[in-house]
Amino acid sequence: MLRAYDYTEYTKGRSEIQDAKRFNEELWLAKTAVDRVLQLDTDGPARCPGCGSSHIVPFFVKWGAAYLMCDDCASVFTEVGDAALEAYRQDEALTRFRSSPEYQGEATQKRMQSWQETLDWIRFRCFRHLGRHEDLTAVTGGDRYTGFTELMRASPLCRSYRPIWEQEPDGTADIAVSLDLIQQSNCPERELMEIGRCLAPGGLLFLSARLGTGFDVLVLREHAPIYPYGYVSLLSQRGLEAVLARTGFEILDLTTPGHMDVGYVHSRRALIPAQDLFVRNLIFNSDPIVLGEFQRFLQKSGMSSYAHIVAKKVADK
Amino acid sequence: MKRLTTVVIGMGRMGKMRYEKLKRHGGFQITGVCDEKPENLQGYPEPGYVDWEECLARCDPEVVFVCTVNAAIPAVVCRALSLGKHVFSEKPPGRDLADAEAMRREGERHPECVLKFGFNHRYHNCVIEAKALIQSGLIGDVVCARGVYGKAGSPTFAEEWRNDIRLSGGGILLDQGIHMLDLLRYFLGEFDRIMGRSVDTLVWKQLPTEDSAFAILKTQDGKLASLHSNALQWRHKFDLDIICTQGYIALNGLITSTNSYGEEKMTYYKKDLNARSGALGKPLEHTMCFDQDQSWEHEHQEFYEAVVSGTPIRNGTAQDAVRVMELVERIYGNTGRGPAL
Ligand SMILES: NC(=O)c1ccc[n+]([C@@H]2O[C@H](COP(=O)([O-])OP(=O)(O)OC[C@H]3O[C@@H](n4cnc5c(N)ncnc54)[C@H](O)[C@@H]3O)[C@@H](O)[C@H]2O)c1
Ligand SMILES: [Zn+2]
Repeated sequence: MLRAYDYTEYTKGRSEIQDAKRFNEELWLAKTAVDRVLQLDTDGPARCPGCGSSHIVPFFVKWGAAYLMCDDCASVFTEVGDAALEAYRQDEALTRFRSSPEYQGEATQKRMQSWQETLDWIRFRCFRHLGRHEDLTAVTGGDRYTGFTELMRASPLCRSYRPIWEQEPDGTADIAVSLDLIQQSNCPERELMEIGRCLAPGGLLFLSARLGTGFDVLVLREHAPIYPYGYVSLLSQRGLEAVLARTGFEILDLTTPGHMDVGYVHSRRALIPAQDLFVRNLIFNSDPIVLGEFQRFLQKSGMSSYAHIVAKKVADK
Repeated sequence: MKRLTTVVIGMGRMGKMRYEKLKRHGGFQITGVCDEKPENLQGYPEPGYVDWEECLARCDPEVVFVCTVNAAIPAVVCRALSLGKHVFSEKPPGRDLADAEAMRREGERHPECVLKFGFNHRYHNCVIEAKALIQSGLIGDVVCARGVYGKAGSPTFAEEWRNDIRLSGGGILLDQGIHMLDLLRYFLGEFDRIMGRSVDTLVWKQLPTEDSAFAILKTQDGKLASLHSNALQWRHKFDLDIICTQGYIALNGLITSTNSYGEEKMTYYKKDLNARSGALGKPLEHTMCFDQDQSWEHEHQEFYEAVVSGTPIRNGTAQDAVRVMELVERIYGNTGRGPAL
């Protein structure tokens, strides 16, 4: 398995990938939806969605939803049943907001560069592991942004690019893309099974996910930029490895190229718990060069809160 | 898994290491070990021989691994081939071009035998990734490259057989620089011109061999490479820069058993003159770090598959061996430190 880090000093202010006003509006809509959903029964099974352990401890509460941590693999999650989660996903105001041309247009404008980089990553790793990076049958677990879908469809990478529920028959896709999806699921195992079903044996899964073991999550807890039920299962690296193994995948590359952990914590530094003396000293008293080095260290050591994984579908036994 | 009866000839540092890796592979059944120094055979359960001809005759193996000093390599390789054995030989392919050509000719006389040379650097993770990135076309075509491969030397460096021209054939260029030359060929193609060179003994004045070799090489289609192979780095170093029309790759460090070449890394970025991915002159940069050296395992596996399944050798062919020795000889020229042209 490959270890890697990505590095750049994002001199162009890439953290502002969303207009602040629009972001706050989205957050407010999400919170309203969560309030409604919390009236429903949100209890899911109290098992770690990563390793399956039942050794669970409380972590923090956000917007009235309890986040728990697995004592065995350190995955973070909030309990929510299928019906409640579906109600959140179908929330009319939130769905309408996110599918509006303004929202999608802004995403295309601000995120195109990072989508291009994602596409380059997929093409490079396809070539490395499959020996080809053109004309592939590709499926997606679902894209939040239509701009990304269009980019994939127009790329020489894809002969076809369909949602998994349209791919037929089973076992025919060369590659599958699941970007920032499994963190929204209360059962990542089920999502990965669905995707795996579409893939041909030896086919590749490109997965990106927020990790619960990232620096910003562990330091900021309820003040971290995560919220119910957009973030349900924040697996640890170990949790991800466990769930991928259970669903018939072999990990080829696992990298943590997240570059925003330190920035998030820095911009919310007043909320760092008072007893975290080391982190407070680091964040309050370091110059940008030291903070940049620290982010680089997090990326390289698997401690950033964002993971990229390439995994191979193992032939069915 | 088919098990191939195998002997290892030359049980020094490399022979011992390959012996262990071959055992772990599972497809090689070692039936004999050989070294002219009997003390190097102690502790091995297989029959040991001090005479390689006796070893070949008695063991009659399917496969021969040759890990002796350079001077002994051609005779062992050619005899083994003439007996119809598959042969894996350490680099360098003998002491000079004539040695390499003799082995290639013997190989051609026995097309039923697999012949492979140990240019294991091609199987280092950083090299595998760099090759894939270049072949993917994502950073354009290779234009030029700069390779530095340097050693610290050691308190006993002057006494090593590596610096005894009769046994080695040359100095640091032939011993270590040859790996970098092989990689430059691997990434840029065949060099037909040496644009400049200097082979010197700059610090280790007591040596008959060189401690520094610089060369500038050019391919027929105009790709350029520079090489500095040296034993006066005072710290182990491996660096290879590859510049492409649409991007850049740097290989820094190499995982080895001593971990003295530094962490093995590949850094790459795409040309971005419009500063979309970062600032102008500071584009988004990716670095892959590797914490394992599987080069020996990959190398043995390619050889094994060639023997068992008849797949062609991709890396370290007799042709590779001859071509790289041509370059070595041309860089040495008539300096008297290596084989004379
Ligand atoms: N692929 C690589 O990266 C790499 C690295 C190191 C060495 N090498 C090569 O491996 C070979 C051996 O190098 P080493 O570092 O193991 O040296 P070494 O001195 O440790 O081992 C060489 C062994 O060969 C034995 N030997 C010499 N002549 C012999 C003969 N006629 N019959 C039987 N045994 C004989 C010696 O007694 C010695 O034990 C060299 O050709 C060297 O260039 C390759
Ligand atoms: Zn767990």
